[in-house]
Amino acid sequence: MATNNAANTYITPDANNIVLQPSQPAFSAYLGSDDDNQTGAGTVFRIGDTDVGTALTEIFDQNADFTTGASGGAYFTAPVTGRYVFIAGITVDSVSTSNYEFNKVETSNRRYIICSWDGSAVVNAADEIFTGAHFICDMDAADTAKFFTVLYNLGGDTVDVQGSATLETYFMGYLLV
Amino acid sequence: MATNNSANTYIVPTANNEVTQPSQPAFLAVLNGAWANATGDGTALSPMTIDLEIFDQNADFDTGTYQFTAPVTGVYEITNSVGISNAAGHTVWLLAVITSNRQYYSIYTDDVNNFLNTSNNTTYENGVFADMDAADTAHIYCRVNGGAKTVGISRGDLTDCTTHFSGVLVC
Repeated sequence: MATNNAANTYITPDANNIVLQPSQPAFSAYLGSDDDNQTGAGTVFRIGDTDVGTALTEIFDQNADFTTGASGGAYFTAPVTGRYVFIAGITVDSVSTSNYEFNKVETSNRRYIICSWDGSAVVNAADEIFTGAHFICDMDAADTAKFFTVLYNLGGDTVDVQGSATLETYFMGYLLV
Repeated sequence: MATNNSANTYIVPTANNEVTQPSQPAFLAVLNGAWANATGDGTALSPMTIDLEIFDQNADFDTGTYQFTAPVTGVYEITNSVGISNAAGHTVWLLAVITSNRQYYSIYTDDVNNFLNTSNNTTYENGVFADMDAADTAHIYCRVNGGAKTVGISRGDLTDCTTHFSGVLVC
């Protein structure tokens, strides 16, 4: 079998033929504490934007391709051209009368919509909304992926983005093929 | 390692051990532009039009029939997102992925108005792991009831995947 790795450490089947890929790019990170007052009046808030909020906490980052916090938001950098899966979930609080919530994953190539709806109509009794989604995305080497939310039509940026170890807000991804 | 391909073009590790599979079935396609007056009176869009490919590794998606055909028996990850517009006053919104084996609901509500934003549109996304046999097909089903045929499907293009369909062979 042709390979760049004669020792074959990139695919490691076990005795039961279960296959692991221990060097495959894969990350999971979450917002560890609330980022209050980030949106509500049309301000775009990118998760992990350390200019206005907190960096994410990594659960794992196989291949070290995820940056947990940066100006402009946390981001994943594709180490190789391929098809990647991204999974994003976010909980916003104090939605109140905001009737337009808009969440997206954005890669260097494209934007993938998570929700675009009337937030005030779908909030729970605690005035919170959770939305999540996952996408199959084409990325070229060195492309990046981020995740943002924006709510509109409140008098100010009074909406909180909730974070905790129970994964109220998270961003995950992996190289699939 | 057992293989049917001694040249190994099916698994391509990099020098850093990242693994790509350039022949693995994987596709992403969108609705090419907006579609006005598509449903609203109960018209079922099945298969819903998805006519612009962004990628189609292994050429298993058909932009003429809007269906993915499994080239081999396996487990596939299939995702979709559909945006609807001009839906105020309507009632039912049913969005699903239908394979030859099963139907997977994304959303089934009796009051679509609860989801509409101030621009009178909304979107919903879902993904599933689907068992498919070789030659099975998968497509999107979308239907809105309760009013006139005035509900549109939101646009997609090469950079905006508001209405899209994608899938990949996982294992």
